[in-house]
Amino acid sequence: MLAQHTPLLVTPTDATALGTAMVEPEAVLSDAPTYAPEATGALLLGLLISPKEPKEPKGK
Amino acid sequence: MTASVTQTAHQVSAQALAWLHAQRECGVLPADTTADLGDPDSVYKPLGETALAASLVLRESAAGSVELSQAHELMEFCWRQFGEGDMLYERLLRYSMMTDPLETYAPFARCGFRHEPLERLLAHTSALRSVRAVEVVPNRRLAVANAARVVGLDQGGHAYDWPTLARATWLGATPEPWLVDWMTGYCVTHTVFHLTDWGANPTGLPDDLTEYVTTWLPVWIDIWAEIEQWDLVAELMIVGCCLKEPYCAPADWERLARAQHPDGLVPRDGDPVPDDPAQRFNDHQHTAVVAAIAGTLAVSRTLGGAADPR
Amino acid sequence: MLAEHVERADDPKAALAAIRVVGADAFAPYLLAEAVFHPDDAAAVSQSFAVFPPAVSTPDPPPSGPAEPWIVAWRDWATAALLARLTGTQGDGTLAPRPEGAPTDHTDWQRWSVRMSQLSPLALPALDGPVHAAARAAPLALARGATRAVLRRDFPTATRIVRWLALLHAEGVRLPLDPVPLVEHLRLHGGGPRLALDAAIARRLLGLEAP
Repeated sequence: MLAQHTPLLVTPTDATALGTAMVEPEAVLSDAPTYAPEATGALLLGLLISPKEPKEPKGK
Repeated sequence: MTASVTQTAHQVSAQALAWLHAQRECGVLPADTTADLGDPDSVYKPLGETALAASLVLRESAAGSVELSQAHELMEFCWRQFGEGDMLYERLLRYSMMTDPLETYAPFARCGFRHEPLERLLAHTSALRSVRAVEVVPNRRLAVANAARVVGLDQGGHAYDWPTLARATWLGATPEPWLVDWMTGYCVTHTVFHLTDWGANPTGLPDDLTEYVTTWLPVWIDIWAEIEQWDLVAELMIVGCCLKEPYCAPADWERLARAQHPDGLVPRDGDPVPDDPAQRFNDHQHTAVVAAIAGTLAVSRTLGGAADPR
Repeated sequence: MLAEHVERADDPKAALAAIRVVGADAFAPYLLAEAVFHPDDAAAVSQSFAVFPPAVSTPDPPPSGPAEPWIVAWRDWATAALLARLTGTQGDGTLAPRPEGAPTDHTDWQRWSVRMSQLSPLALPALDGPVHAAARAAPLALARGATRAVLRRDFPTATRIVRWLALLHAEGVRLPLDPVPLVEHLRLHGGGPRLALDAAIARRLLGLEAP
């Protein structure tokens, strides 16, 4: 059976902390998406299939 | 509620338009500009955007006489910058596959600034399978189709297949709304702009997409307003004005009005705004365009008595 | 399970506090899986209430009173009601009375959905009441709230709201979004034991995990 003989002293601080833990507010700061060049896929695409810019032809 | 939106939206758009008008000399093409346009995004594209905003102010005719006059002057200013169409014509002659001459021309054509040789060339070029098949993202394809529609090229055997074009976009997939990212947010706004021709034809957005946008638009406006992404927020507010039952929330308009500077500048985001006039114009011209369009359409839709704007 | 948790703990007070915090969800293994409820488990829950007593009188619902104690009172009621159910005790609220009021005004869906997330331990199939009725009346506000929380990358809040969506889905309510990929997304992206528990409960409700 449970250790009911153990005297457990609960302070007001404990009770407050418990109440806070039970309320679970939302995150204060949003981390919503913003401009992210790496998210466009252009880099990956560029690395794989984009040809390099041609040099000016000689003698022109 | 509706009256407060009308008033605030008018104030935001009038001030944004006045700022674009006052700052227009910051956005002139360099004297030696040719149709080749070394950097088309620097001045050429913003001029086209300013013309778009002005053309919609004129189309809606919901603004006051001062704004209508400023809009007309901006149209003439931008038209002169483009050599009254000659530059667009030369650019299309040189680069048949490029869509920007058509897209840039559309707002002018809408307001009666026509260029006959350009129109003949556009009719030929835009009908070519080669041009229609150019590999671009689906919402860009809609931009071309709408520009063609405005210019009068979306007809007969060359009419665009709007349902297929709509279905090919991200929005057309009615995707999980909780995975949208910043760039995809812009894809959504542009898909709606072009399908509805900037709110002129709300039924251009298919019913299921209208329902989808109506459901999730408030969420997207909320999360991007919280982190002060005003440019994207204002674009989403245009989207609200393009719906069959417009979504124009008074709180959204009051928030955008609070973000607007006393001189009419609308900051693109929450970052500090520089003092240098050229830099201010460079950084925030697009947001002024967006705010002017959003306010114009909100005034028009709320005055038009469209059902229950909230 | 619960009794074992307390008996094996180095700090029994913390172990009992944990039972109070987890609240009604401590019974999820007995309701949604095949854990066998033992009288010692009931004693552990009763002891947690004895050591950390709930408010004597139920607080006024917001806006008359502050939201936090009222949320705690609802969570205590849920724990007490399930304990009574599992032990076969007549009537609910033996350890904690049922508070007045429920969050019915979902016009401000942002704040409302966060409130519902704070009440997510009530989103269990064995419970019913005015908070559940409020959830059933507002699937759109819940779906918007969950979407908003995911996009803010507040995954714990999102997962709590998704529990209500999962419960409604299990009840056959039509939702504006498919909760299945959303739960999976949160399970794979979110962290922490509380989120894992919320996600596991949601998965059970959606029938994604066999009992």
